[in-house]
Amino acid sequence: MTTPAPSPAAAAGAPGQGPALAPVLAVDDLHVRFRTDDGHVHAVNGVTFEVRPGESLALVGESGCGKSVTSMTILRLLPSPPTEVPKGTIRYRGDDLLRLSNRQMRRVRGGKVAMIFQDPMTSLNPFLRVGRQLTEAIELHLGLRGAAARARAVEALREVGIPGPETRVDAYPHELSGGMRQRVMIAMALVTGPDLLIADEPTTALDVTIQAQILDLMRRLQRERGMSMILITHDLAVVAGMCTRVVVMYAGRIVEEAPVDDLFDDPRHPYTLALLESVPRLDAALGRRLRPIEGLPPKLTEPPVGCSFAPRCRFVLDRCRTETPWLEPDADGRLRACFVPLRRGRPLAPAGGPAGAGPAAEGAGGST
Amino acid sequence: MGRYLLRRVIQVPIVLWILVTATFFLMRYTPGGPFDMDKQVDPAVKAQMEAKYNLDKPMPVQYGLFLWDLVRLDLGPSFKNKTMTVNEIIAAKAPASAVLGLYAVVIALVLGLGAGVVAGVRQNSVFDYGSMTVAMVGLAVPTFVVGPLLALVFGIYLGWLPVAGYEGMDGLRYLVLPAFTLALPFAARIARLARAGMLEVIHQDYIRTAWAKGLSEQVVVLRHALRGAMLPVVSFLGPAVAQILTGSLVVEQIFGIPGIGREFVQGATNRDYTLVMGTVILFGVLLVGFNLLVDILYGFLDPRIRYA
Amino acid sequence: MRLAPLALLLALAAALPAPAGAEDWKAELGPEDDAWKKVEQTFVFNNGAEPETLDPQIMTGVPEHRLAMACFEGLVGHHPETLAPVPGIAERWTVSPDGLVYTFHLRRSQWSDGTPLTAKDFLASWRRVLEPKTAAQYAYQLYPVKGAEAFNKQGADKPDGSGKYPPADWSSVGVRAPDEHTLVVTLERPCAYFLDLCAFETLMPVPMAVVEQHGDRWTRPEHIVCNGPFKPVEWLPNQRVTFAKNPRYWDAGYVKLEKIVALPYEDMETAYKLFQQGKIDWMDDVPAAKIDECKRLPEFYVAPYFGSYFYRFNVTKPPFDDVRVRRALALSIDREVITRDILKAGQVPATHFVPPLPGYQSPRGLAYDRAAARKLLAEAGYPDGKGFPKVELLYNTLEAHKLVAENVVQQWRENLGITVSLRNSEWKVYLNDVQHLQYQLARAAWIGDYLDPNTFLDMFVTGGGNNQTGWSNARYDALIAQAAAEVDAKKRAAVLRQAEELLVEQELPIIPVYIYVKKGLLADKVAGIHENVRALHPFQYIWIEPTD
Repeated sequence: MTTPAPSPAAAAGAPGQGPALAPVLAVDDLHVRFRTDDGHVHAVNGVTFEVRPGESLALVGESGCGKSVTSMTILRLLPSPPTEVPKGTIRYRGDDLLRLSNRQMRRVRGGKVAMIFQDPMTSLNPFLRVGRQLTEAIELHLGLRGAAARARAVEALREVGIPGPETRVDAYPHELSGGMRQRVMIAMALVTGPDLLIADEPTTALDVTIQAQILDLMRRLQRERGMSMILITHDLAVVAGMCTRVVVMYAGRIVEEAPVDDLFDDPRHPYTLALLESVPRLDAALGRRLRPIEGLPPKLTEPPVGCSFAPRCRFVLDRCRTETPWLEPDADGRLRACFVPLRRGRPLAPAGGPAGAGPAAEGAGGST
Repeated sequence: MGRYLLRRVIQVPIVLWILVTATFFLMRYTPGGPFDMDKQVDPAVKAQMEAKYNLDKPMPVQYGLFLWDLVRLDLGPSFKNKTMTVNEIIAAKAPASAVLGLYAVVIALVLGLGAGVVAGVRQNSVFDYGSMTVAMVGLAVPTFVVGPLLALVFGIYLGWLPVAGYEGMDGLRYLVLPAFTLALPFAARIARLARAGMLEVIHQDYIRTAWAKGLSEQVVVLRHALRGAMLPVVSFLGPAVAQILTGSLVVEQIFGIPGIGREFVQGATNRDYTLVMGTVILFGVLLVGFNLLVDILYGFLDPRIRYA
Repeated sequence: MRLAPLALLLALAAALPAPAGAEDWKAELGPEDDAWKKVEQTFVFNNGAEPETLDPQIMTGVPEHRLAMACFEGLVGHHPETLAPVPGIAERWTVSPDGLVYTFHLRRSQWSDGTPLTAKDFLASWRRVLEPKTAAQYAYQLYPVKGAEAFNKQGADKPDGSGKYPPADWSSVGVRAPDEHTLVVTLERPCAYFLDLCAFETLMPVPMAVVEQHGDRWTRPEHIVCNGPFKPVEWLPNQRVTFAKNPRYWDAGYVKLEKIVALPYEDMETAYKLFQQGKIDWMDDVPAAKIDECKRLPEFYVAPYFGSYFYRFNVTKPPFDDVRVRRALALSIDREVITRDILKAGQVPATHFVPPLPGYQSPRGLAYDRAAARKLLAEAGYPDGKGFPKVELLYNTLEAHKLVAENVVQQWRENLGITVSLRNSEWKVYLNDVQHLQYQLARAAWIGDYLDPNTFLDMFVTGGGNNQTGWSNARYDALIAQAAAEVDAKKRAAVLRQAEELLVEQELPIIPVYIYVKKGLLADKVAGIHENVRALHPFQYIWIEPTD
């Protein structure tokens, strides 16, 4: 039985990151469950990761893997019954957000850590003018009032590339197009100058051409401000374009964590591998079939025993069903939660070279 | 918005004309007339009385005379009240109903919105269950039970408030119990509507955005949620306010308020054609007027509708 | 020598009623000491309804009559205990031996605006009542006067369709004012109760100049001029009518109250709450639901009232065209059960129709006799109620009527084996149906207009407007006409008794059920309200005693 290890990336000084700066956000062994009439739903089961200053981290996984729950829990946006956080800490610049009072938390929300959501039409209040929705954040977090606040709002709109912001600021959301609304959302989130932006599927509801524009905007703004970003998505293409590091989640757990190029080049977890194989690629051979992942993700009404992916994994071993793999570096230092060492999509033979996979093969790395 | 409003405004006289005509003929063809008494009147005398009020003329002529008077805003003499014309009766009695009604509307809105919004925001809490139960009771228990009960408790046992009577604007304490009695069923409806509206709104995405901006609960509820939650309440208010303002016969009788509600019912019972017509027109105008107002208010509340 | 004029004087004095100066009886009815002067003399009572008008000649309802009694006065008034006619504006009067000519001698008195009140005012007022265009509903109160009916009906269609009533001139009406203070009235035929009628509101004088000037609005407080003990000073619709003492009333010195407030609450519960709070001094009814509670209060009173509750038969259609059936139904009701257990307010079960009156003895009527009833029904062809057609009892919608009707129907079922269904209608519909004989059995009530059996008995003459049963009996009509012509009081009473006997013992077009009572609450501090069968309480006799 392996024990959960503290964030190995920080300890190991993961390659390509430069000197280890203090992380903006450190999530440690987070567990989140929901109490329902039929028992508990264990949505997040021991998630640990960090976000460093200036980096954009992708949180990837299929629907129901716990990525949204995790991000909503960071800002404590989930209603408190039925949500329960039995274990774990979320440290923002050293303070555990889970232990802050409501008043302190409100200062963090929107001010230090901002969040934007998927559907900009429903995420903006249709009854209020766009300008008002901006100035209320400005008044609350920046302390500006009246004309000064309004000027700041106009500026914010200009920064996100909305033409004619002096008039647009008095528009209602339904008077703007989808892309413009998302820009407004971004403006609303960034006007207060947060350190960390959590973007939950920011482009999923937009059509492709607009998507590209929004992503460009976000990238530019992030760079200009040196802001950290958590980008939650199930769209791997977006990840490739935007992020430096990727965290892959499955069934409430992190299964792999890697720099983006490494991940795409050589996925080290059976799930990541399967995921990439199921996505069309420009460099794939013509006529090659997409390969869906058989089976369904587990119902999370029980705390998972063993590896959650075991039922669908093509490399599954007996011990996978009984023992829980935790995120650990393999021989190359790649972080993965799996008992089967993989290289280039193939399991390694017990002795270390690529060979036929077999249920009896044991991992060389990640020992107790 | 302008053209829509114009269309609605033009409909008003048409609706009223239909209302008035239907009432006119319904009243005239109902059995029993204004001069049927338990002490039989000599037919000759009865004929004299009917002649005095033009009831001996053929129906189309009566209708024509009536419309002509109506256009000049003359509602005619009351058949029962020999000293006052219908215009005077309405002018004398409507203010009391209006004051009482206004008072009741305010109470209903304050209580109803207050309870409904809080119940919606705190769904499934003790307050939620408690207030919705009270609302249910408020709807189920009839006014003629609530009224005397309140009068008994607050008037006789505690002696805090008068049990009946009316002193106009100098005696607002006379209106407390009747206004409450009148307001209660409306407050209950408003509470339920506000709660339902609030529940629908509170789970919307834009409320989540508001939370994510770090706004306090008060701001989220009052600035973001309330306007959306109010929409079903506003729709209800149109006919409700018209109803409250024209008084409730029961409340007015129990508390001795000289209002117009009584005239509605007594007029019909007495077959006082002119008075009935007057009260029906009053109610019709108020109803149509308030519905129009509600539509305008809706436009203010929901910017998406303004440009429809 | 001096004895002869003295004897003449005495004889004259015996022939005339007591002159206005000798008011010992009035003093006796007044306060014993001056304690009342220390207390505010304001009398607040619940009148039970908003008055339709204060014009005594147009009004028809009891609440209106009460208010008219406060501010107008006719030739005579009512003694507060006996209801006998007492001098009003007429200080004395004579009646001719044939009972046809009444000569009234009016005292010197004024209207409340200072103008003198003369016999011409009476002339003009009575003319107004009888003018067809006034459309006074109670104009018929003046019909005993010669030529009055013809004057009132002129120009109207005759009920038999034979044309119109001919025009009549005012000079054909038998009323004259030979001088300012004498009024001579000639009747069509003797009328035993004519003096009583002279106290009735319709016969009160009205200030014709004011009426002509302001038309229908003359009774508004700002215009009204009156001649009674009080004058209306404020009329807030549905709130209250306030009267203040009229200093120009001829007997203002006797009037003790300074202010009267009449409240219009129809809801007895509301009035009762106000009574409990001490805000009203008198209410002349009690909430039905609280009768037991009220009966226990010391302020509660119950007194016989001049009204009769009965059921009408529609005798034009079977089965009620058979007198045996009617008598059977009348014999099989135990009225004690109804008054004792259902109504509970002391109503008097009655098998006769006319309420008790001084100088008149009603016949016994048909007492409850189950066996006799069953026998009659069998004779009529329905033994044990077999074959009896379905019939319906109509009443106007009111809880009390429903309870009584249910009980009566149940008794009929138990005693006779017949099934009677119930129908209740809204007031006007009910009136309409009864008037047009669209019923089989119908609940009814009658309150007498003047203190004489005739007001009850002449309802049922052939074709009478208030008959409404379709019953016609030549002997009954003859008896009523005979009583109308009879001058001797005793003989007249005997004739009327025969008529009532025909009505309630032999023919039974109606079933008497009970005699009304008046029940109410009167605060202890109110003095001067005396029990009488018409529940008439003139305000000049009322005052407020101190409570200690």
